[in-house]
Amino acid sequence: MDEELLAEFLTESNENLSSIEEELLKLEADPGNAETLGAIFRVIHTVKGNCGFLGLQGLEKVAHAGENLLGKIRSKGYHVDGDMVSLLLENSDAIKTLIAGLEENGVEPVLDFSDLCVRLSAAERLIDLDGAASSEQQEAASDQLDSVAAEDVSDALAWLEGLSENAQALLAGAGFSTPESVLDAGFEQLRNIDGLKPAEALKILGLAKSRKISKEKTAEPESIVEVQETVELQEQAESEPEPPQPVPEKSEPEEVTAPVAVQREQEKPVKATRKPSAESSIRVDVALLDELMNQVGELVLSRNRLLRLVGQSEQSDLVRTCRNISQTTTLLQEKLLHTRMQPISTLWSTVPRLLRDIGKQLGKKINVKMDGQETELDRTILAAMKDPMTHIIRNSCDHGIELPALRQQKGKSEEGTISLSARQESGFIMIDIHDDGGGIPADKIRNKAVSMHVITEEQASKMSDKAALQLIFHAGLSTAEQVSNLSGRGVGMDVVRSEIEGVGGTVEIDSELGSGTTLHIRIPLTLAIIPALIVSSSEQHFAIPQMMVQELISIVPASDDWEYVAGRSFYRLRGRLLPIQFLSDALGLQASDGEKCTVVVINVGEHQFGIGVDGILGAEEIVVKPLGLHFQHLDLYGGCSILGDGMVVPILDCVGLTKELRQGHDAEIIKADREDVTAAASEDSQYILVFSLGDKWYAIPMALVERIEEILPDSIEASGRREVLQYRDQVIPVLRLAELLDVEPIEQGEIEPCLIIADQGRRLCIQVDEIVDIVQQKLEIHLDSSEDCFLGTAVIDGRSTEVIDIFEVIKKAIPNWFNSSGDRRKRQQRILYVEDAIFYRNLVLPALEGLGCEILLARNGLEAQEILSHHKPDLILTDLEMPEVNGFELAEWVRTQPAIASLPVVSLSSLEPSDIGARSELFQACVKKFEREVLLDELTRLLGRKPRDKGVAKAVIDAEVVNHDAIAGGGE
Amino acid sequence: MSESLQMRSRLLTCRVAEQWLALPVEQLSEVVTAQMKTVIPLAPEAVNGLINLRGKILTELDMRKILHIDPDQNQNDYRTIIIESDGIENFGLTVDAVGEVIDMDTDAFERTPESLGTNWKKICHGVLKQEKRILILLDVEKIIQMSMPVTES
Repeated sequence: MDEELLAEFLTESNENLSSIEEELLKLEADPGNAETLGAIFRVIHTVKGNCGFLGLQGLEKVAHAGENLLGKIRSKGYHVDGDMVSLLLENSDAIKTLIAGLEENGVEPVLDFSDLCVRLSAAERLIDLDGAASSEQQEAASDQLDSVAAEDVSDALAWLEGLSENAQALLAGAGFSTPESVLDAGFEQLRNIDGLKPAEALKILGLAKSRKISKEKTAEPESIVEVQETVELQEQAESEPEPPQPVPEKSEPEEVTAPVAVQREQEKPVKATRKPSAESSIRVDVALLDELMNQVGELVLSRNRLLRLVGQSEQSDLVRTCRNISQTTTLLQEKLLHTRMQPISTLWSTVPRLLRDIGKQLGKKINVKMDGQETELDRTILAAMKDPMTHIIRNSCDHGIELPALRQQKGKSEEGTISLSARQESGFIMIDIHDDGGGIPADKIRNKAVSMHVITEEQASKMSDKAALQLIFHAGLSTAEQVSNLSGRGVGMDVVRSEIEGVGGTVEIDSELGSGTTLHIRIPLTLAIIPALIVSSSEQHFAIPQMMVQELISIVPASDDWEYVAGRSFYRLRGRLLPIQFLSDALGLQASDGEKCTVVVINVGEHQFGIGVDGILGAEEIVVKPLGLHFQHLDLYGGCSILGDGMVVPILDCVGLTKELRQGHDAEIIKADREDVTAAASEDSQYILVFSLGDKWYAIPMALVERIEEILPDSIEASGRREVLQYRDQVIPVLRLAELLDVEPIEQGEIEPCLIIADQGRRLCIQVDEIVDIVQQKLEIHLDSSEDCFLGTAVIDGRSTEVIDIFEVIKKAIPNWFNSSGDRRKRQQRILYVEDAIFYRNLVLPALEGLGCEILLARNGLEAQEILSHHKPDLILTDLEMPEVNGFELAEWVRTQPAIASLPVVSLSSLEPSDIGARSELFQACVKKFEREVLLDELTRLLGRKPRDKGVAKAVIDAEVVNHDAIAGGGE
Repeated sequence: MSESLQMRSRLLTCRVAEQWLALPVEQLSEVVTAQMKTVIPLAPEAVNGLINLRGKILTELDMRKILHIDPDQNQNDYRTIIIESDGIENFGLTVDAVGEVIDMDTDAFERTPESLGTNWKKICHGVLKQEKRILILLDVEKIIQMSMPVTES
């Protein structure tokens, strides 16, 4: 067999067949669509035609049987039903199996599909029958389709397939054993046969007719095809003198050379897409692309080296030329990366079929909704995502979507829906898989995890629902009560997680009882060239993929914030315990005795870890290369790369590096988890950001600041009278604090320190003169300020510092910033806010106003009782420790007042949940002070509003430099 | 590597400690001087590190370490033979010195003598007897095997 020809055939057939399932399902939804049917027919027809040419007999037979059936459907204008589509799907599966086998071994696999062929031809006859007989009989015959198919076709009475044995016997007894004799005899005579029912007589007649027709046709089986082709090509023929008849098949391969283009333009007439698609795209061997990618990788490295060398040069010509090369290289790299990208729809196209099969199997009705199919991903990542996606979807169908009856009971529509959505977000692809099923009860997972000894009872009770849900990814945990053959073997979700993590992604689960489950997957766009952080440890250099890095912190080893639990090091970072793995320990290196220690905070799954290194050398774009045989046993490394100076640097695999931390010390990690933090910083002490404007110091609570950025003055642009900054795909307003507060700013430096404030998904940038420090202390306001923009004066580091009311400042500068997306209602909801400390009042009030609520203020419980006797707010938000009547007493009192007993009461205090203990039952929610987002979430929930959109304000992804000492030094 | 091909090939001679070795030229691409290398922590004993050979990253194996011969403190002008053989990943192999390329003298070929040191025996598949010395014929695949990490299982 000509190998080149065969390769061509395989590529083409695979491309053609990739769309066939989709088309078949389309046909099922719209059985009368001649265009869809035509497309399906052409695919199978092309395969069959090519098989004949290549001498692939088995394949040809299967394809031919399918083609005949499709031809029949087309010529009769038959409307296919589910069974028929199943049969056709089976046919395309068989073809695919054969082609896959052929691809693997180079020879046609020996597989027996004669059973399928028999059923296909039986179906063909059924369609004939449909023309002649009544629909009632068609149904009967349809039911028998599967059962009769197994019978031997070589039997003399084979043409009578579909008839009961009794009828066959009666017919034979009456001497009608051939189709011709039956036809000659006619309906009257058949009816007169004793015992033969009229319906059966009709059926026999139909069978006989179709048999005769098919016999006549065998001489020229493709007549239908050619007529069809002729029609299609007529328009083309007008411009081409060549008669269309001899080349009916030639046009087929041309059409499919660019499957993507064809798919996009499906709506347009077929003819219009042919020529342009053939000309605008070509097929390229993937291996060639990969090789190109390698070469460009080398080019990028050489470019980096060149730039470094030229950086010291004085020759301006040389410098300029190098910049050009650099630019071109970047473009080349981007474009080439693009060639490796494929839309996620290539992955999702199999989903409708999958859902159809699963749905049938489970007796559920499942719809699929897709959003963002055009989102592109690197093909290697795409390939790696295939299995996890399939598994998640299977799981969603199996455990998530309820049976139709149950759904109806719950007042949902009978059909379940799986929604897939994909979007790009700052260098990552976010994929959400949502089902509108029953959701996952967190308690069930807790119990299961406890019974499997994954966590202890105590941990389980402390664990938040969200944290408990994540346990589903733990090896060996499956909540399915009944193990079905789809899922529930308990090997699923942990494999899903490890596969996703394998390509540098993360997965999280979110579920709401009764209304469904969502899996959030975050994966990088590409793996070929990645930005990486170069770190040093014990005189050696290592690369850490930037996408894993959350932030960098610089710590003094003697700091009080170090904790040692069970022989492990933890660092208390903003109230949370961060498990630290020192790189030198993990690698068995001699630890250097440097004064300082830099910690790279990385995200692995839902957890954060710190990697202790000696220093950060910088960031570089690196080309990931595999490590050799000798390193395969080390899961600490993800590969290696060459730096700009030619040095080889190993790339650390953060997942492998923290494996020990994650596995052996689940307990500590859970303890350190944000939602379960029990050992938070000492009461009331908080992180305060100190910065300077002119020669004075100012402070704001760190909790209000999302990030500290150093921004080049050029990147701040003027927009109307305002200044704006492009930041993480958003255009955010820039406020110059010095101007607003009427302070003389110091001269503008090379960079502008900026504070990024995030509130309800919106961001704002506040430019200050210099960041002084971040200190942790109790914020005591000594002198309440009468000025709008200040909360008062506090002493920080022995120096009096103005504490700024940042929300008042924002309100002054951009009055509508808080309200722009506020959830406005017809009737304004009212919140009673009870707080004795003016500092907190000023801090919280803007947030409450941001909700668009009217605020009733009380300074203590007594005042609150007074107000409540006249007003009925929608919610009470109260501090706990107050003079006169404290928060607990107030809540107790509220519960005894019939008119307001059912009001939601939220506590806002610096007390730990453990301190509140059982008394927390008095409140609908207990929020800690400064947990602004949590507070807003709770209030929104309790006010019965839609959950807030938190899409934008999610955790930041790339490196966040919060280098205390450097900041204190006032420089970079 | 079949025996017959071995018989016809040309050999590069090289020296480790006092012992001369021979390697078929088909299995190597070049010999380079000492390269900058990156030590990889936790790598197997016999691995010196990773070298950057014109953009290709190769693992550098140390013949002395493979053979458990103490390193020569005075030696710093060692050579690295770049091995490029079908079916094996490319790697660098450090030797104390390289000699010349010689033609394989099939008459001088002998099976590995029993008297040879244990470690030497593990990496050779025969010797060539010359006038004054014995050349050990190196087996590249065995060298790799010897250098691989000891699996715990």
